[in-house]
Amino acid sequence: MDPRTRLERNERVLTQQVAGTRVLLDPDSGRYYALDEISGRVWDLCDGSRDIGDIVTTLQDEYEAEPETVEHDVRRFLADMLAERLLAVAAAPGE
Amino acid sequence: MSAWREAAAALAGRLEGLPPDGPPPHDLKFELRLAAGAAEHALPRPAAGRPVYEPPAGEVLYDPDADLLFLELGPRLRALCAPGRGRATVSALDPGPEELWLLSHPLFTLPLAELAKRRGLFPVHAGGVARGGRALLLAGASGSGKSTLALALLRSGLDFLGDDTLFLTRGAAGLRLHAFPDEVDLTDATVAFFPELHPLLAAPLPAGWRKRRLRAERFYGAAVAWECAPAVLVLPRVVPGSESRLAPIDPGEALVELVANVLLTDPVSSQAHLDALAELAAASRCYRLETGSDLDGAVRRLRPLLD
Repeated sequence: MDPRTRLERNERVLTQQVAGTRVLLDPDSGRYYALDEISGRVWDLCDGSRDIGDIVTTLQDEYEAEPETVEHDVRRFLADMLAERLLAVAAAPGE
Repeated sequence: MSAWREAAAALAGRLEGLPPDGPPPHDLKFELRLAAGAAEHALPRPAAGRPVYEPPAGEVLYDPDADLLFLELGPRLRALCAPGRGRATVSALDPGPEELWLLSHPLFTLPLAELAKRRGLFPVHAGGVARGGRALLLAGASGSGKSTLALALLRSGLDFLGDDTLFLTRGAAGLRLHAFPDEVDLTDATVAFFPELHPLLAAPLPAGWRKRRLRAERFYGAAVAWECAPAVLVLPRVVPGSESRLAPIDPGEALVELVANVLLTDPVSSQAHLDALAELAAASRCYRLETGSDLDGAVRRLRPLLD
């Protein structure tokens, strides 16, 4: 994925958070998901205004882990969420 | 007894513990049709329906455009529910004894849960007991042991909310829990744990009935705690051996277990249902309980949680 790609949440997905756990319920598939604190943070950052590069940088700043590991984990999470259609590629500004 | 009378009696048995002048909503209408032939049984299956629940046999669909919930549990039983309009129609084609339980339980409870959800009464699959207006919930799927534990706690002197389904509301008074003191359905294995219930085993099970029925609050002389504050949330499961083990868990972990309560129908009330469940987890002290065969030991672990 191009680091300049911006992602946004599927607005149809129901979501809630308690303590460090965020749950997602997808009415289209009937599936539900549990995200830990870090995955939930990435989910929150996918608001259509930030690109993947911004999200990776934010996570690298917030968590004490190897930058390469953070980037790998963030990208894998985003790819999974895209495959599950919980996230979508946001339209470019002006589109 | 005619099929109609048997179906009505089965439903009345479930609902007789509810007060006739109970709290709102009062605008719900259930219609039970006993169809004489296929033409009368023809409740329409919504063309745009998507599965929202997987029953052991049949299907449960929701059509978001028409706002209709459709249930088909075998060839003889159907229901069509219009949650927004407060209406549910159940159709039974020449029901035999084997259909009576389905007719009086899932075919009634699923539409009821959806109708209630639209009106701000959010169902939670849980048993519940209370003391001093504070409730301990036993949340879990069928087979998790919640009825057995609810009965054991009831016997120890706590107030009763129900053994299977309770309702949450959110308002100025915060999150409130509402009782639904249904008939308790007991397997023979559960009855075996309670010597005082052994006389139930002497009678043959009615045709089509897999469990013994008990009005538990009446049998044990317990008060019904109609409305109270949630305080403790326990997620039980049955384990081999006699000893029970209780362990605190993070409320987020409890929420993950509760999300299966949300029927993914209309988005607004489904999100509100999820919000109520999250508030329940956040407002409660949460535990997992591995329940062994020594029920008195399990009660000794659970009762102090309400002190």
